[in-house]
Amino acid sequence: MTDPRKIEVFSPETLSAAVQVLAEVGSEAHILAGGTDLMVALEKGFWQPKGFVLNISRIEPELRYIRMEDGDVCMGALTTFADIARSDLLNTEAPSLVAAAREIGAQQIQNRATIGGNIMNASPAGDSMPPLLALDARVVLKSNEGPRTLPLFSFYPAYRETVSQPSELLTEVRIARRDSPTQDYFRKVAPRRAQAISKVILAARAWNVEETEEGPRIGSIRLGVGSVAPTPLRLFETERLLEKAVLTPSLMGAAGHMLETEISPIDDMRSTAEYRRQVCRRLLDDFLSNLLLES
Amino acid sequence: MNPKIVGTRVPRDDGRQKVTGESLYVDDIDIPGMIYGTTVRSPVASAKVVSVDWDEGYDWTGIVRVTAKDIPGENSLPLLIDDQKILADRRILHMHEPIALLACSDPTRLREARGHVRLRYKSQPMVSQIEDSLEAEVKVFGADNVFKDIQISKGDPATILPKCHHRLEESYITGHQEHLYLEPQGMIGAWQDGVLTLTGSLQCPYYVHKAMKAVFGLKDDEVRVNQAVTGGGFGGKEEYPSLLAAHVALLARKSGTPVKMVYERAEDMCATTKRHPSEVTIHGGVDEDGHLLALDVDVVLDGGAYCTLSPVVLSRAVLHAISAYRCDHVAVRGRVVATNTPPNGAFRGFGAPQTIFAMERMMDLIAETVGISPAEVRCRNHLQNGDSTATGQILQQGVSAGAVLQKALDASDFHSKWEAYQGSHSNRNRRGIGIALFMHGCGFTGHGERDLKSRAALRLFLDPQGKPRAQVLASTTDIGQGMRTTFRQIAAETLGIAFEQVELAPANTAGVPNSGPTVASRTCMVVGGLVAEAGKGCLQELGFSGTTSEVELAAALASTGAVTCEREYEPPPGLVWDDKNYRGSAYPTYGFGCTICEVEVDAVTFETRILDVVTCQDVGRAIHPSIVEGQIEGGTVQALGFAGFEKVVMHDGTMRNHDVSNYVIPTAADIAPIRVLIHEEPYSGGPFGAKGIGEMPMDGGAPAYVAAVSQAAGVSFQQVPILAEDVFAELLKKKAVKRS
Repeated sequence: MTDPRKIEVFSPETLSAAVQVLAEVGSEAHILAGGTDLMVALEKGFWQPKGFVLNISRIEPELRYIRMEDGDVCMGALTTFADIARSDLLNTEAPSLVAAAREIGAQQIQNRATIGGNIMNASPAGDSMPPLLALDARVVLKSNEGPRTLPLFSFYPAYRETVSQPSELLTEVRIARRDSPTQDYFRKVAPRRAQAISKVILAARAWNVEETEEGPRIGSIRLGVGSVAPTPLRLFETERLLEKAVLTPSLMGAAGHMLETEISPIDDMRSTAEYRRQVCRRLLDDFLSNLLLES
Repeated sequence: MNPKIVGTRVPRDDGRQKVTGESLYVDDIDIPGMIYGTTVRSPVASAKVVSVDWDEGYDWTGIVRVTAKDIPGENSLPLLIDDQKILADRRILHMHEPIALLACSDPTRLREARGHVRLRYKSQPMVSQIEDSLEAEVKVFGADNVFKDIQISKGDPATILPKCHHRLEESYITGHQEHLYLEPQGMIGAWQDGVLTLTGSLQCPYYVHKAMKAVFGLKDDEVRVNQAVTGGGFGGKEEYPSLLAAHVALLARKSGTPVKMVYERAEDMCATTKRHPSEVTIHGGVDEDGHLLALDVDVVLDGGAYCTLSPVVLSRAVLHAISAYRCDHVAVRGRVVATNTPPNGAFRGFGAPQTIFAMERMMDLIAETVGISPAEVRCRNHLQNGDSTATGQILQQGVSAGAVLQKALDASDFHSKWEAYQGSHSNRNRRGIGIALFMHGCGFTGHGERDLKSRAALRLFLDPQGKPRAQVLASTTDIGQGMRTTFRQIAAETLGIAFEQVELAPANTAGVPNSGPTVASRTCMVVGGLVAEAGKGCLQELGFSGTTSEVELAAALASTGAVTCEREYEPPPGLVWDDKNYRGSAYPTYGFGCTICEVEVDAVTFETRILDVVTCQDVGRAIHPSIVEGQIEGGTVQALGFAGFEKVVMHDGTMRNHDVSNYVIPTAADIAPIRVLIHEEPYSGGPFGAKGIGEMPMDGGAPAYVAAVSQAAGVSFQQVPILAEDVFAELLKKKAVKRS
């Protein structure tokens, strides 16, 4: 374990100061927001900071908000999961994200843990990413040279890696506001009903579901999964198969097959690959069956 | 007598201090000059030690180093057979075995220094589980790896079994279980003028006292053991603290300063004792109506690398193997064997939850085979007054098996629910309900209590205001179970004074007599009984035959002066036990319980949700109903954790999931409200009729849960824990779900 007293901590008061530090010595910085992942990793010896810690929690005035902007729902990176759970706007616009927020850790963790921290920690088991993927979320990265916005589905190139550069700070998450009614789904499968690490997560959103004589026809669908691949994953191929097609039992079967080709679960001390694969598929079935019932 | 304190819910003795944070646990206690200790542990499960060296390139200034060479006498921890080393010297028998000790004033430097101790060793083949241990190709202990072998026999099962109308055979498996007390193990040791003082998180001050006298060659008054406020034990702080005490005492001896050692959570989970895994096979013979005729039970427990208390755990396991049932022809064989895994030890229930799980699942199999309900098979076979146990103990009175069974059946609406869930095989979520009937022997086994000669005392005196006050002198420890409150109630009621006028002397070997260990559901029944007897003795010394008014009591105390009365335990008359042949009265009395659990298995994810738990338990007399309910609820949750959540992933001799995020105990959200029904069948040998209740709640949760999940899933399970993955795998095997 690294001696915590020997870790140099820099706590800027403004976003521009933080970004300036990253521009100069970003490759030596470990960014700390709520600390709910890092402090545990430090104690367990998984995290051995070589450089210094850039504590951004004091930039809260600039980075903790939930608001509408240009037709998007925007969340500052320091928005806590307690904020998300309580937000009327998100309860309307992003019920699956709210459901995820309510299941993260205990209340104390929800008060500390931030959406930005969860995204940047890049765990394949992170609770907020599957719903964010299903909501077509984009992330805003800021550096000295200005901001860039990219879709979350392109953010995770490999296990525990992001495309963010050392000079960049994640500042915002954006979700497009709905323009028609949606059907949303979130289910986290975990070894217990609270304070647990996920074994499988599926978040989904469908909209423009039309009634046809053969059954409901899904206009658009987004599927985000967790704990079944090295990274949080959006299931593009499965979505493609389901979009614009009439939902029949055989299409559901084909979608399940496609889902299995897209995910790559493993055996570990938390669960088995077989369980994760089958349950992930059954969760999709569960969501699609609900669509059938509701139509 | 006119009871007014016993049976009421007085405010808990230690409640305020614990809620406000005033209570000082080991980690909160500082002594001037105190430094911190840590343990260097083996990275291998089985090896010969070549050498223990210090990294020469590392700056060891200010770090105290101890190896086996620093042990003044024998390198062995005195317990049953003294096989466990204080520090491994020649052989390593399990992962995380202590090899060396370090102490330093800077705890963070200590963690770093641990990485600079160089252990050279030669790996040896290892025994990782029961099967390999029984083959005994690799020897961990003795010639055959068997720590203890016990046989019980009654009647002639060998002749009767083959003639039975139905003959059944099934094997049952239970896994390790981690205590997960909230407060990890911790101890402070200090030497002054040749006297060793230890302050620790522990259950049994006199166990530590005895062990330290032997390790350091000290006299009675040269070792003092204080119990600090203790954040849970569950048996995990019964025998283990003696090892920790030896370690801090060695470091303190070499450094010349007090040393504190508190385990990290991961270290505690990896290195300390767990519940013994078990494999139990039962051959059962019944008539066509499901009456038990003969039983042959084979019990094997995994003891881990050292003996610890395993023979005693095995004893309780075999003595509970037939549980609360009548059977005339019985054979039980039990063995506890050695493996290269961290030693297993005392854990609430002490072997009984393992064998009771097996017997209860066998009862369910009998019911299914005969075609009756699980409730009916229990109604037909439970013990009644006048029946005899497997050891031939005639239970003349107080057998409440039928009463607790009936109360639990009624409260849970078992019959109609079980019927309704029998046929339902839709694709929706499926429900199931399961039942377990059980009993638990109170106090030490056989002659244990007679040999312990436990003592407790009461001192009755006048306070400066002239009010009578009493002090209870006992080495029994409050480990969260509420014993401080219970003893104060017993003393107050006996003396006829207010609860507030009774206090407890600190559990310190220098100040209180040896009341025996705080284990075996004996605290209230045995030591509480001594407190009551001592109270009566005090009154007699003052010339009263029973309780009297406070004025008269004060007047008598004013003329006589303070009185102290000590009582030593005497077994009830007629209690005869033959330890060689396992015949006779195994326990002075038994508690009986029935637990019913209702669950729903999720059709999509195979997760189990607990819908309802009803449990009726005979406690003799509930001295403090809230405390009794707390014990029953807590024990039931721990049992449900054992059944459906808590899986120790043991791999290459080490617990892989050694953290609280991956070793999953249930939260309040996972457990339905537990409906506790207290049944009181008084025991004449206990204070106000009280029996033991600490462990019995651990016995019934697992079989009831597994029966419920089995009914809901439509497949029968014979092991714990059962996780969603196990339900899924079993349904796949039975082709009850499709693999896509």
